[in-house]
Amino acid sequence: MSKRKISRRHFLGEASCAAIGSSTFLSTALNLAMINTVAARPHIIENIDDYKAIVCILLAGGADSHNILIPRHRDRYQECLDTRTSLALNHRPDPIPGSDPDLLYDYYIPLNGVDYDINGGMTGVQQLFNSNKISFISNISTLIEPIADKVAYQAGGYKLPLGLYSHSDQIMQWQNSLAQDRSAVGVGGKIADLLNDTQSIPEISMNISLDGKNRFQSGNQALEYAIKNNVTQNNIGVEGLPSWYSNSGFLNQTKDQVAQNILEAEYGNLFQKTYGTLTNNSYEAIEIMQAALGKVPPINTPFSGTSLSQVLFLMAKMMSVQADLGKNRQMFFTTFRGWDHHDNVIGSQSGMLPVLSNALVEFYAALVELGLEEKVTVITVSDFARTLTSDDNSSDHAWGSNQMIMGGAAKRWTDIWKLSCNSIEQQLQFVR
Amino acid sequence: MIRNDPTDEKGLYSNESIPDNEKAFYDLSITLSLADDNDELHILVDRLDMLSAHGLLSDASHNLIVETLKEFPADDADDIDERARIAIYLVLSSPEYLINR
Repeated sequence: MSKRKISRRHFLGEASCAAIGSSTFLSTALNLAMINTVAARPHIIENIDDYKAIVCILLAGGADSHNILIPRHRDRYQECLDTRTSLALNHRPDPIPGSDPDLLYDYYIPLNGVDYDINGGMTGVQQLFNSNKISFISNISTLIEPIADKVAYQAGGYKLPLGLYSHSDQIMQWQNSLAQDRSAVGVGGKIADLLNDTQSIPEISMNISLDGKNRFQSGNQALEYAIKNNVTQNNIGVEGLPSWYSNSGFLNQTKDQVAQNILEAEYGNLFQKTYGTLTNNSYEAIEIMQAALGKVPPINTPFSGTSLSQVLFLMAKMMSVQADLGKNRQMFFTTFRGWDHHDNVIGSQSGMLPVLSNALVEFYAALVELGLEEKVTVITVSDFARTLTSDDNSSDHAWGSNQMIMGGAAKRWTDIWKLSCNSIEQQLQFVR
Repeated sequence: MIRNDPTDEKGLYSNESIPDNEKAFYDLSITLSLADDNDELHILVDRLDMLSAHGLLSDASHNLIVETLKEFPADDADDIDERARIAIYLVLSSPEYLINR
């Protein structure tokens, strides 16, 4: 595969294109160069004593995010309604006070300071937005070079992302930020490769996954540390023996110790040696993680029982003991599945958007409780948006979508979003 | 579609039933008969070694597993069952089993 040749002017052009929120992970090339510069100057690293974390939530399947944001102005709403037909919700700019809250899922509710409303199932996100804690990045997706409009797109001659409209390709490109390449190395993995030396306790990765192996967190060297959402101090590691043993504690220890002893032996075969080392490292990691979990302070913020809420709850716990895990930079990843709505878009979303919205609200409240709200940034990503046009209550795979960014950094994103709002118009242009 | 496919775990064809004689299972009877006697534990580990690791388990690991199993009680059927499972667990934890060469 030949390297893509670009001129400096071209490169800067793409970088500024990314800066208004058109390309995934916001021009990683530039940001990674910054991290590289920092990593090359040890005196800067020695002064890193603050804490920062990124949380990436993948809405797998390609969420129909055009039902999350909708233009408020009567004429523009009508335009949207004409295009979306059965996919557009009823428009009530001013929900009736005291009405059945369930009915609100059919309405859009207003966002302050912008000409857009938000899906009525996301009252939590509405409040976060109106208090400048969350923002949207609209018309964001995978991109190699800017394409002006539908005419230009149909005329061709542009480099399009590999496998545009394909779930697996687009999920991959959102995570590795390379729309022209099928790279196994993700953005979080690259960051961890560069910053790993600045972090202590190498047994636990900077990258903690609540969804097993993923591309976002895989680097050339760095790997993710995967945990389940029900991990506690007393529920971690390899499966224990039945509790009916009178001395199951001692026997559990014996079993694990022997398994480790077997792994510690010298093996001539390189695969066997590597397997032994890696598995023994995980045993050590379990002990470190277990000790850290024991130090999690009480978190009073209530979390719902949904899987996503529980995942974010555990992330908050991990962040509360970042010092015990030897990390002042962390990246978390999880997946919220089931957004590929080829049928019943509105009905399915009315169940799922509140789950997402509530989880974000609960997580933000927990961050405030832990004093981390300025230090943790949450981003949502999704394969792609869905077609604006309706095919019997369903929408198909499309391109630019509306995503959310939450946390201390989101304040500045509010302004950027206003800039990129124009691109919603462009999206509409694209479809007609 | 294969009828009575024992690998169908997802219930996609939930109207099918698998006859008893077609169900996949692991026969523990020989393992259990060896697990109750400390003097036969080395035969037990040998057997698991032959079945799963092509007899490549190192002497050190072999002895370690045998000595470990002796620490576990064998007073009743539950004990013996658990002993057999731990023997299998430890042999299957070994690099000799996991790395096929």
